[in-house]
Amino acid sequence: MMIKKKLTLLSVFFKKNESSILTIMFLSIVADIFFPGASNDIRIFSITTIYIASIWFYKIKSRATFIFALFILAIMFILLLFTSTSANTEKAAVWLFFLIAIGIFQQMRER
Amino acid sequence: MKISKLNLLPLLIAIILFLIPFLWLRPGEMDLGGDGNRLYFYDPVSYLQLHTPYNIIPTGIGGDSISYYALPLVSLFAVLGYIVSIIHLFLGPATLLIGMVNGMKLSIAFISCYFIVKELFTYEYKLGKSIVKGITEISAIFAGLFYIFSPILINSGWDKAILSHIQIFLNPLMFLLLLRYFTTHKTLYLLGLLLVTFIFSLNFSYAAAPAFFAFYPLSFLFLFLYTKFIRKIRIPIKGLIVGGVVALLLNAFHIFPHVFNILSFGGDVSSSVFSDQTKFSRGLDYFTGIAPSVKASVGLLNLAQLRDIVLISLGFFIFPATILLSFLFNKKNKTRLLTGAFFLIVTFFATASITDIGFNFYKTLFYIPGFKMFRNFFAQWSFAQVFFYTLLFGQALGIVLHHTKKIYRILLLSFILTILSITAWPLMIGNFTNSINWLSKEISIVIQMDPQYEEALRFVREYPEDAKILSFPLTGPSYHVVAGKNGGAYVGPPMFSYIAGKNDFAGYESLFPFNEIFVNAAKKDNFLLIQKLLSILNIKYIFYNSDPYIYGENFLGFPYDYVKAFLPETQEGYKSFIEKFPINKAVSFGEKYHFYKISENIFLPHIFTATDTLYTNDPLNFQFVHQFSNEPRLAVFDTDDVLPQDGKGLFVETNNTNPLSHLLKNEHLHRHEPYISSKLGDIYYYLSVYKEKIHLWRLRNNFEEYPNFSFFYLSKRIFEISKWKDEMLILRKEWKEPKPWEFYAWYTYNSWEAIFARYEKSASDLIIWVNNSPSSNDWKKAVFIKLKEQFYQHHLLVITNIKGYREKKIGDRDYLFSYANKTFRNLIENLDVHIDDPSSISYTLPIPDDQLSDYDPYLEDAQNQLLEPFIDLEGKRLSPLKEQAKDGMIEFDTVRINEQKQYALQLHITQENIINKVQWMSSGQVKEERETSELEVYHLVGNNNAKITQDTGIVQKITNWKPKTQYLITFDYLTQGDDFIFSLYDRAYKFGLKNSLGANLMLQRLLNSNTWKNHQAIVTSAPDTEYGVIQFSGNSEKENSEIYIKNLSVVEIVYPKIYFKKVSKDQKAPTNPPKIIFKKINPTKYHIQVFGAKEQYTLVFLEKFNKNWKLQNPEKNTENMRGNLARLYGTISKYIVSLFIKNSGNEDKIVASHLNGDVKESNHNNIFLEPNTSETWGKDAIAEDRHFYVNGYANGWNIEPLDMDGKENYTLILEMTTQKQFYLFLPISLLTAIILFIVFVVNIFKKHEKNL
Repeated sequence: MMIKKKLTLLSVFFKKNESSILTIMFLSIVADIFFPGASNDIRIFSITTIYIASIWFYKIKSRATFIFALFILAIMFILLLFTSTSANTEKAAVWLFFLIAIGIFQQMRER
Repeated sequence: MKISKLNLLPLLIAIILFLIPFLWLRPGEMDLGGDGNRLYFYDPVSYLQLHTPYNIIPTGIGGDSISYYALPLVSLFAVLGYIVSIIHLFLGPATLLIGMVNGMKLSIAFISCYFIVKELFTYEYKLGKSIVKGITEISAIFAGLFYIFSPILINSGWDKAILSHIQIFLNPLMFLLLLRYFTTHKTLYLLGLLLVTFIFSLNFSYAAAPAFFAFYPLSFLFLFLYTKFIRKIRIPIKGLIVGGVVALLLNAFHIFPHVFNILSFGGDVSSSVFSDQTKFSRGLDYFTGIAPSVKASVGLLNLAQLRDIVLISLGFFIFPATILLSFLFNKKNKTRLLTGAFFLIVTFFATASITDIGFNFYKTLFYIPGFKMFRNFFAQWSFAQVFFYTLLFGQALGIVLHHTKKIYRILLLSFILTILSITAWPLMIGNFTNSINWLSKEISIVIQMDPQYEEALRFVREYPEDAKILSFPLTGPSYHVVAGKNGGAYVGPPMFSYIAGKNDFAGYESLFPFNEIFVNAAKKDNFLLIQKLLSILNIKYIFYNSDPYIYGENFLGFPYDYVKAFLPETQEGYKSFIEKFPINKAVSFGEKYHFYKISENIFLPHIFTATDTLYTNDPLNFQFVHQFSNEPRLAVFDTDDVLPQDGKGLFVETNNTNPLSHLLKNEHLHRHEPYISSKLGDIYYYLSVYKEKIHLWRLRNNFEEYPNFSFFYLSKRIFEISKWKDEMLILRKEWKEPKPWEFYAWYTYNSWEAIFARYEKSASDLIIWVNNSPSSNDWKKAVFIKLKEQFYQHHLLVITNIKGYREKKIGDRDYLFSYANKTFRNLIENLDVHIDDPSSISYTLPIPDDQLSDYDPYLEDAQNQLLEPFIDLEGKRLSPLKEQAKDGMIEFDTVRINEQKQYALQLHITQENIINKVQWMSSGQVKEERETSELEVYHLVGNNNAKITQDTGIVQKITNWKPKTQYLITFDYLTQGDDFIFSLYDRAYKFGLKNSLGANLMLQRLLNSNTWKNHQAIVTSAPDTEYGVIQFSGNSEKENSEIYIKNLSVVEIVYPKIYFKKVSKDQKAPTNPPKIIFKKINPTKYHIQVFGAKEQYTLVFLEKFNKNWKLQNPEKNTENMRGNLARLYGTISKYIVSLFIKNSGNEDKIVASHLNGDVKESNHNNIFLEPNTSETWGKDAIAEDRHFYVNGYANGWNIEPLDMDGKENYTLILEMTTQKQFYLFLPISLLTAIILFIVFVVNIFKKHEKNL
């Protein structure tokens, strides 16, 4: 009973802070791209898992994913312009790949 | 698909695209070179007659290689070429053919993509409104343009394009036909599709397997899902099955021979598919080597990999942006979602850079047999990637245009058109086909054929002997370089081989397995050996292209680079070089093309009977030891295959067991340069520590890879220091490896102590592993020498890094210096691998089974340079019979070998120091006292070790430093506690940095001692070296430091060969082999008439050994079911063929006589098909169990009188029996194609009638 109650409280907390949590998550993707060094699977898959969980929890539409993918594409453009095919550009490309994949999957389910 | 007004624009574009390539080349110009030559454009008829229908490699020593997969297309070229030559179009046949193929690539690809996108888009968007129709048209047209002008396809090798490059249009065309068949079930599409698979059979063959498997499985899956779940149409399963069977029959002529080849275990093709070695060395290793250069960002933008990102490339963001916008505008389009999913799949395969897990998954795929074909993955998947990108982009553009205002549409389309036009411009104006030969001085690849070279081609085609050619100037990859009339040059496989029908040794690679022997002999002007080589390679003519345009400034590197170190560097040099050959006649065509005929007494015909046979364990090299047989008609057998029945002619070569012989190519100097990405302080670094351990554990039984990867990981520790030194901690206490659960201590990996401790542990593990391995002691010692060299390299690197370390606390650097020095000095001193005295050389004597006897030892001493030699055979001293070598060979006391075992022996010789007098060149002070040099080195603090100048160190030039020679350098030194660097340079070493004396660094060691110490180093000098340089330079913090050197010596290490000749009581009786007349029917078949075969003899065929070359007795039937069936098939085919073709009517005429008339050549033919083609079907092969390797590469048969039922005069047919598979399956394919064509035409007529 206690656990259920705690889960409900947690759920309420997450729902109340939806915009903050999603912002943190999006920022963490951006931070990962700009973080120095090569890409890291633990970071990528952790954030991706959280993002997929958020889609389910917050009922995020594919539209949001594709808008975010456009934003990442813009980052990739800037990085390519200034750093050519640096590690950061490649991380942006990997995120773009993942977001398109997630978006396509979402849109298939939304139909 | 009816042509409507709306279709007119794309059709017009397609026609323009078809015509544009005709403007790329001027009349008579051709682009023929490259790895896979394009000579079928220049002379398709000769190419078809002489090369395409035979499973024989036409260059060098031959070999089997299936080439007939291009038969329909080359036949088509031949027909078209013939028609064009009749109607005399102004461009010339070859130029027209090239233009036509290029035009097809552009136009068919464009129009196919157009129709596919239109079809996909139309289904989702109803075409009610004209605006939608217009948008659909525009999107489909833009998709077509996007495909053909994609940077990936533009950079896909339009110059020197191999035949499979036609996949540019074949992929979309096949997809379109399949799509139409899946959605309409109309047989016409299936028939068309099947005919395409036949005409372009090459793209459905083993040769094009990567392209096929990258595109077709995914396309089929896409079409299946699209038809079943989006269009909700029944899949035409029956039609597909029938189509599959027909496709198999159509392509049976190449698929089945290839399948048999793959399943014939032990063959070349089979081993390339299944063997672990090729799976990893040519597959996974190559993949992991190039993968880091392939970028996901580049792939997502549809740009070409491994090219610079130019400003215009940034405009390609419009394509992914359009796709993303389409997903925002429309959620209902299922086709686009499906296309998007497939696009992501191909992008994953084409980039291999989607996360580390993805990359590791990709690597595991290489364990699947055959997957190594994707080692060059980005190129092989690129065509599929561009195709699915096109489908996705075409649909996305339609959606975006549909949802945007007119002004935005115009802007978007204008931008896309601008980007594509700028990208496509170089292709459209023909820049890609008019490119420059690689590494040349701006020499175009486009040529207009020189008429004088055409005359030379005719000469080769017509010379009567079945003999080979050696071409000069020799190239590395066995290419011919021929200047065209227009200033361009052909650089590609030798034309003599492909369109003149004679095997040509045009370069180093085609001289295999004698390539190293040849270039070394040429370097040393050893024409005795070269003569022997010309004989055993069946070389009758030397072709020399004296054109300075093709050898000299225009081609300084490729394709001559490696061989130039051995052969003359100028055309003038070549002229005098060729004059030294045993030639007696010259024919010239113009000023540039010369043929020299080899003297008849040197020449060995393609097929001959041997007059002498020898047996040895190293036939490849032994045949050049002229001292044991002067017979030119010599057959040298391998004792692993066969032993002499009477014991005569047996020679056992001793095996060299000196550890230093494993390092003849400076293997110990190899520098691993691992890429470091993980930070030592990261939490997951711990995982990579275990990954290394697991990797080594998996390699524990791999004697080559375990030491290599151990060295690699040792280097990794040092490179980690180089990269992270300023972030590394100094613990100032002993480091212990944290246990898995001690995660709180994982951070300590990021410390100097951890690096040194792990380095020591890895080194110690390797030492234990080597000691426990069951390998030979000499191999173990070689590994230890390599390891010690790694210690020396790494010690110096670490010290250099510590010098550049940013000190956090005072004394940190001193502490690190002391720690590093202690670690490495311990490692070096504990690894006790003293290099043996080079005056004592170890061997083993592998006596073959049942060959115990007396043996006469012979020591090879070609230069007469071995001083005071004697042999110690397990305690028994064998002395030379004469002090001086006779004819390069020293004979020793006879010795009795009476025990079946591997004997150990040692050769003792006296070796001299090549430095007669030590004369230091330096700015420092040199005092000579009692053979000790006291060298004072000035102001060397923080010197740059890479450069030697007169101010940095003390230098000794070694002038009598021979090329390609292994040396032992030893000296004693005392540095009084100061650091010094000992460096060794070679004038022509390829890898090290160059110093101011013009020599390149080979090795460097850090010296430091308070007492006299001895130092040893071994190196092999470069092939084209002139001198070596020894240098000592200071490396201490002091301004002046002193080093004492004594006993400096540089000694050549030699491994002279020792042969043990079995003593036979009787002299060899002179043999009287039968006389023969042979006639070439085609490259896979010879008729041999034998006269006077009274006793056993050896028949030699100077072509690469292949067990499928069989001698057949045409008069004896094979009495079994298979033989009966084969004869039945043979009889039927003979009857059918005789209805159309008669047997060759030309009478046998002797065209050449060799070896005093013992071997004659009848007039050779090149008949692919005649009634007699099947004459050997169901006939007995003879001496199959006595078919052996001879002379290290060729075929030899020991033929007994009983093999031919005691007959003395008879005919044998020598045939490459795998060619029969082609004769078996070709009629099936042809028949199917004819029937299919008739059905196709009938279908078209029926449809036409219906429409009427």
